[in-house]
Amino acid sequence: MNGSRLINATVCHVERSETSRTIFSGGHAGEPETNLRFFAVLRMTKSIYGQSCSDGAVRRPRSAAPKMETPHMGVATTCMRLRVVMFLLLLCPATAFAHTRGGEAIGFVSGFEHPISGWDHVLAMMAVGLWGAQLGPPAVWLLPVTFPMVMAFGGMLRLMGVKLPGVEVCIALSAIALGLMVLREAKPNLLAAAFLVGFFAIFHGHAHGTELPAGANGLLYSIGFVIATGLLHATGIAIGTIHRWPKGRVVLRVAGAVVMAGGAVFLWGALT
Amino acid sequence: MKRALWLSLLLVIGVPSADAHLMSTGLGPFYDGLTHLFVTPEDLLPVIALALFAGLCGPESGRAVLFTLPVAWLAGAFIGESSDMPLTLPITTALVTIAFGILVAADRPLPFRLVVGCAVVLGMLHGSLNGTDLGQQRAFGLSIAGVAVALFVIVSLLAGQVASVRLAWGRIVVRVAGSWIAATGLLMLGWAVRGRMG
Repeated sequence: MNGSRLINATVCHVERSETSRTIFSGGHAGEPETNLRFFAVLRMTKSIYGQSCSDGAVRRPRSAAPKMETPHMGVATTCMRLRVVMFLLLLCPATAFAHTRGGEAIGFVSGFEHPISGWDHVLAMMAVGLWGAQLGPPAVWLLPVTFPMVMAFGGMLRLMGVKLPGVEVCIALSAIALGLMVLREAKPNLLAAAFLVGFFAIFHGHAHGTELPAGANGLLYSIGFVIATGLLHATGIAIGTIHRWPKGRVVLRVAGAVVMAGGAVFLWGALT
Repeated sequence: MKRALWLSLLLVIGVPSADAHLMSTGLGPFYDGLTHLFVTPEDLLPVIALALFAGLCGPESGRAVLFTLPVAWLAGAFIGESSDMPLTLPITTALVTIAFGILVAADRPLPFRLVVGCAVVLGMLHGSLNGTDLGQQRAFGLSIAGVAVALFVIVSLLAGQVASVRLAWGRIVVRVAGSWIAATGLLMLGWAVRGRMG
């Protein structure tokens, strides 16, 4: 309780101080936004608890005080936690991005972010993992081994200037086909499964593997891209372990239907 | 057809000049060399692949590579140092990375002598490239000694761990890592060819 009063008093003091007026009228370059955010959080805290600082005194609203004293201690605890969270938020500085990122770090980070940021890629990768989990060994690891290698081959073709027709359509079709396999719990022989996965992987690599930002390191971009793709497979496999339970099988099939639906949306977008 | 083959060969053995230099740690040339490998993925990836492969081939191969690779690297570096111009072989190094990555992913152990031969080839190739690249640096001997120590550490850690793996899934994890290295190598090859084509 004392802690919350201390926060409120701090809020009032800071808001009324000369410093705040200086900041709002424009201080150092880059600071106003940070400070506006700072005061936005403070105002939000006050609006939650209905407190006013107009007279500089620390007052507790009539509506809030009884709530704190009611036997419903769960509410009081939640309020206290909220205050602690708000206080912690106040301590978080907003970082400045004054410099453009460049060089090797941006290469790896961009490559790592790329597969994760595109839903078409995410759906297909996850579906490969889910399907592998349904098929069991050795497909559970063979498919995720096949995909990155063939995907990289597709990326290499693009880098060498080889063009492929209908890349976006094939990526959408990959989600539909792989989602259908998961939905039906299809169990073709290993070679056919690897061929299906590999065929679509070429298009994923061709489309996504080479979108290197300017100034980034191509090799580190590639490493990030391959690792992120592999980790998406691993996530799919980890989710697919629910296949051992009857209800888990149903959930997996539903997930396959969701992947299919996502693929259909992407296909519509690619064709229109 | 013959012309295309010649063109491919020229692309592979073409020797563009390098613009790389040793990263300065502020701790002296030995530590600069020690960190060089860790900040040069072109060198690091095939070394990791070879260490994993040596581990998959068994403790005997792992031990052989542990000593062969740094020695071959040192020998290659001192040979490369005599070159006046820094060189890189991006296509060749990419092909080597792909080859070692595929060897790991396939998990087909080779005879002991072939594994040692792979270590010699890799060490001589990358060592000579390092030599041409770092030969102009001050205290070249200390720098390259740092590189050799880093190689020893990497190979001993990776090959030792992989050689001691008994669980089936442990080998699968190593094979997956090999496939990732091969995939990265394929993209390396693409970047190298693209750079050559302008």
